[in-house]
Amino acid sequence: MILEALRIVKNALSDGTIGVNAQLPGVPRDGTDPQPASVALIAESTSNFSAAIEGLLPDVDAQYPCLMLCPGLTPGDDEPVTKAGPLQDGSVEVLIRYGAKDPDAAAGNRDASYTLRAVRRSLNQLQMAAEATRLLNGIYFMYFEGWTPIPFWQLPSGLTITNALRVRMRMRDTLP
Amino acid sequence: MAQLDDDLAFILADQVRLTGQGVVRWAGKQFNATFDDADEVLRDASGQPVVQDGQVLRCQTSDLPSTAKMGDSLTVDGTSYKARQLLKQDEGRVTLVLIA
Repeated sequence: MILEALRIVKNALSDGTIGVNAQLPGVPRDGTDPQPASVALIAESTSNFSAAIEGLLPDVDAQYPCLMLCPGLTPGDDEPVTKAGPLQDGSVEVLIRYGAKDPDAAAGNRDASYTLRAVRRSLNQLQMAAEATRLLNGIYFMYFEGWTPIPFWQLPSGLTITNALRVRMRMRDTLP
Repeated sequence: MAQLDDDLAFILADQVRLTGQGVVRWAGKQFNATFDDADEVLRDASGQPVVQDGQVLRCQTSDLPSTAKMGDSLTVDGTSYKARQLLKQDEGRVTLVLIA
């Protein structure tokens, strides 16, 4: 169920119509703020080595800014069993991490913020998308239960900027 | 949000013992400094690890230009950097400069 959630989100964010790069031009921007650079790499932790070990690594330098998806750290809620039947519904938390390198610390924070808003807009499109977009391996994404913005972050000793969005997804196994 | 690890100065001070010399050009001044380029693994605001490239100069504070400040452009052995943070050490006689 976690694999399917990660890949459904990754596929949506990568989509040419509803994906993050398609949403970027439409994100409202303050004053003369420029549009952030398009996301160069979107990867998730069941098909990408860097995402699997949950680090933003030097070997993806050439592909910044990037979005790395991994399971969130919060365990899912207990699912109350109210009637006899298969175990098929559950909540999955997905952490969508943004990583970039920018010598201008403030511009990096600005671009991270706008890009994560584009991510959220893309997720809203996913929630309204056709069933085929929301179904993988018989696991169906029903709706987002909530989202948490994570503050952007960087250290003065380097160029790396991170930001993240944590979403909680309600999933159903249609082939339990 | 830039977050400065409380122990960063000590971590960096330990790192720079391993390094060689670099020729620094900064605001018209040229001087030698100890230069280190070492990665470290940190956790960001999401709680996940980040491999952070840490480049540090250790120099005599008296060698620095009087106008030295965060954001200044400088070169080390011909490579361009920006000063990200200046941390005085050893009663102010030595300054660690985080660069990137």
